[in-house]
Amino acid sequence: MLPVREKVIHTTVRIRFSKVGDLQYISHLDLHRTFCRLFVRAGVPVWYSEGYSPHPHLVFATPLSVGAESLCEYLDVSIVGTPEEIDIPDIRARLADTGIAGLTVEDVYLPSTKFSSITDSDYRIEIVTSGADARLARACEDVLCEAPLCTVKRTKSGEREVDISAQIRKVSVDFADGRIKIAARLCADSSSFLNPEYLVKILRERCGVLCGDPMCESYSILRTAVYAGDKEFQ
Amino acid sequence: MNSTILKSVSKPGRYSGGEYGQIIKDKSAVDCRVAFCFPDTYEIGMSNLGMRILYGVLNTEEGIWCERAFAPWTDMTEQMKRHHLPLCAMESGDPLSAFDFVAFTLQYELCYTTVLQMLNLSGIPLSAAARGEDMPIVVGGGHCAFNPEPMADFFDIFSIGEGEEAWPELCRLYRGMKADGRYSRAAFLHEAAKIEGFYVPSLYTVSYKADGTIEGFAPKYDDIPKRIRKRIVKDLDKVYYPTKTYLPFIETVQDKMVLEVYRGCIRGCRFCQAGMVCRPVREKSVDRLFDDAKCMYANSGYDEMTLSSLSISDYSKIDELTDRFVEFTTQNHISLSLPSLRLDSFTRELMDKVSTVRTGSLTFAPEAGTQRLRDAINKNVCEADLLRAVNVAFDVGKSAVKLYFMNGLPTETDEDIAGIADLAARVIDAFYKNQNHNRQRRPSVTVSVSCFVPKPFTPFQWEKQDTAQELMRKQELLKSKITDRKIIYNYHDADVSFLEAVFARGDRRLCAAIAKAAERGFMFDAWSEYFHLDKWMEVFAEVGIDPYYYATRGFGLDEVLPWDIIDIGVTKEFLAREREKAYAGIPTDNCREKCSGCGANSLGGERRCCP
Repeated sequence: MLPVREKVIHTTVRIRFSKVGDLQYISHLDLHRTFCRLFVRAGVPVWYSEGYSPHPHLVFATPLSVGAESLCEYLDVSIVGTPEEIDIPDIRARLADTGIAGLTVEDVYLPSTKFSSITDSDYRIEIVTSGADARLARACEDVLCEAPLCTVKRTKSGEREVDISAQIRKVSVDFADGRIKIAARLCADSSSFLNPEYLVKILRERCGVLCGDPMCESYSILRTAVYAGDKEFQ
Repeated sequence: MNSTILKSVSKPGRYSGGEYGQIIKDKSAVDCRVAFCFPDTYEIGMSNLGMRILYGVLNTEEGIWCERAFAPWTDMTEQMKRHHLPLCAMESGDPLSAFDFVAFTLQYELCYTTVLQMLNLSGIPLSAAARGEDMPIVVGGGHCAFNPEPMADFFDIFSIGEGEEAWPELCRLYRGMKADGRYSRAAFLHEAAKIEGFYVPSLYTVSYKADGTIEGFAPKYDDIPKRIRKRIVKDLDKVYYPTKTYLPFIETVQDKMVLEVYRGCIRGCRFCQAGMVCRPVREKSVDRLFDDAKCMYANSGYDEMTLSSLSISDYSKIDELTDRFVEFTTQNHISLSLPSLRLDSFTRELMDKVSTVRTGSLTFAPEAGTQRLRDAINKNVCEADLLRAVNVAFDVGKSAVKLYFMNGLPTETDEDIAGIADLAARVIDAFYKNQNHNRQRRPSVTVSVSCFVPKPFTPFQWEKQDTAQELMRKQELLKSKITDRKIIYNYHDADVSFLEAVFARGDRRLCAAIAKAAERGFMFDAWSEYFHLDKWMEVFAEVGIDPYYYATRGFGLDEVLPWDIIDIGVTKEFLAREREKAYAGIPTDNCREKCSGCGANSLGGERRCCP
């Protein structure tokens, strides 16, 4: 006997958060579960769908691959109440401490844009590799600026060679603090999303970075900004 | 952990840690560090209730810091070996060799080689005798510790029975001896052997008769017990329960709230080890359970809760409990699940209250195909119970039922095997005869058959296991009897069950085989992709051990059994009586109807049904 539920008015609330450190190894689906539980613990009045098995409604903006950190993630969640009734400062306070190292809620607000307006993301990629110097950095930049820039992409339907040069909007490579530092703006709209791992893959194959002892070499990927056209996404 | 390595292995979330609810302490403020190890993957270990309990209870003590460690998957093991990285605890990232205690829970016989690989990766000598003063004390517990002998060489101490009161005592002894300068490895082990529930195998000598059977166990000191009595928690309402625990980020096997309702079992199925070693029955009160549930929910945010015990419908206040939970779970969108439902207790009312029963498929365990054999194993359910239960399900539109059976039970004949097929066919018939059956779907019955393993401390502990050939013949026979395609037939690998029986009933001499297997790199034997009986047979041959001696030989009633050194409260005389009744086909009343005099009441306990 399922109890008869009344329709509950709900409103989409946007959460901007950062996900850094060891949380980079946590997948999208894992993060979904983590937020659902966090909302319950924090006493945030999330809305539950009214179907056979009620569940909260969460939508994440752009996928972040496992192994990448981010300072600017966006999540829309349905909260019980009208836009006027929802107490944003209260939700912000409840989420101020997530209790999870690496997960920080940066802001909570009523959104005025759609996730579909997202076009690009900025990334900072840092590579610690043997032989890193200004010359290697320049060589890396030359490779990443090539057009066409072909690499093998692995998809569910198999492997195929693709040209990713059009999906790299801007890229520059420097040598500083003993590392190769890449700043890149990559396509992030749903039809032509480019995973920043491909840049590392190309440099590994073409410039010989990260081919030495894994105990001494490493790389990190950090998403620093998300854009809707020329403007930073809100 | 090094990020390049984490990025190169499958499921790095297994190793990265940082879970909500993990406990971090100041190293300089503690003087006793315990690494609680689960000898299987993170996903399985994180689901284990015993680990949550001991982790929680030890960390409530100031001065003790308990952390977790799991077996790295083979890809990670390879990386760790290549780069000489030791196995570390999740919380501090310190290697296990730096701990005071390294504790393993032994849940399943086929995890033994994984235990040794974890020790190897930690740089801790496998042999307890070879560990120096600076090495951790290695302790084993869990269900397999009821026959600890096959692992005796590798453990300094075994914890027998329930650990949440015993473990803090052991740590207190350790800290006390360290503080007043009395500590040496040998002195500590001697003192530990005097605490009830702790077995120090090196302090007992085993002698053998000419025919290879055990002559006896002799303690090396007069002041340690001749037999080791298991520990129980007397009052479950007064003991710690993990209402706040670690929450995995990645998906695990059982990622939900687990509420333990009672311990022990009133039934006494004659093949079941848990039903005997967990006696006496001790219940938690409805009030305490309800408080714990609310607390767990507030601390976790889980949307699923399962009530846990050996046979949940035997809880004396199950209706009161589920009634009280219905409102709480509905209000908070929590789905409530009940595992292990007996088919004689399955009712429409219960089904309506339990969401997983409402949405998932239904599983029952008749265990045997004929009434004669069900009586012999003391299952105490009949065909009418099964047909009534499946009709409840068919009435509400369900069409799929899963049935569990066992092959190779003592006294089993080909007629009993054929009975499994007949029973499944009658369930299909019952579907069509039911007036309310689902007209849109075909019925399906999944018949899942495991192989009988004679387990220590059961009335069938003396029985020989069928040979793998005989088990396979029976599996083929059943396959030939099942002709209806609406019946799906699955069965367990007989070779796996054979090895389980060897370790379950083994003695100390098996340590040589397990050590050799570890040397060969065996690990994750419980995972079918890493299980190779032929390689095990080579190992047995090399160390001169006949595995059939342990598995397919009937043990004599007057024989000293390898596990006789352990006292579980239930007497050997009772088990022998039950065995006789099995052969006579006489069932025994459950504990609530009539006391069968098993002996477990000597252990005490609150809210139990013993006289």
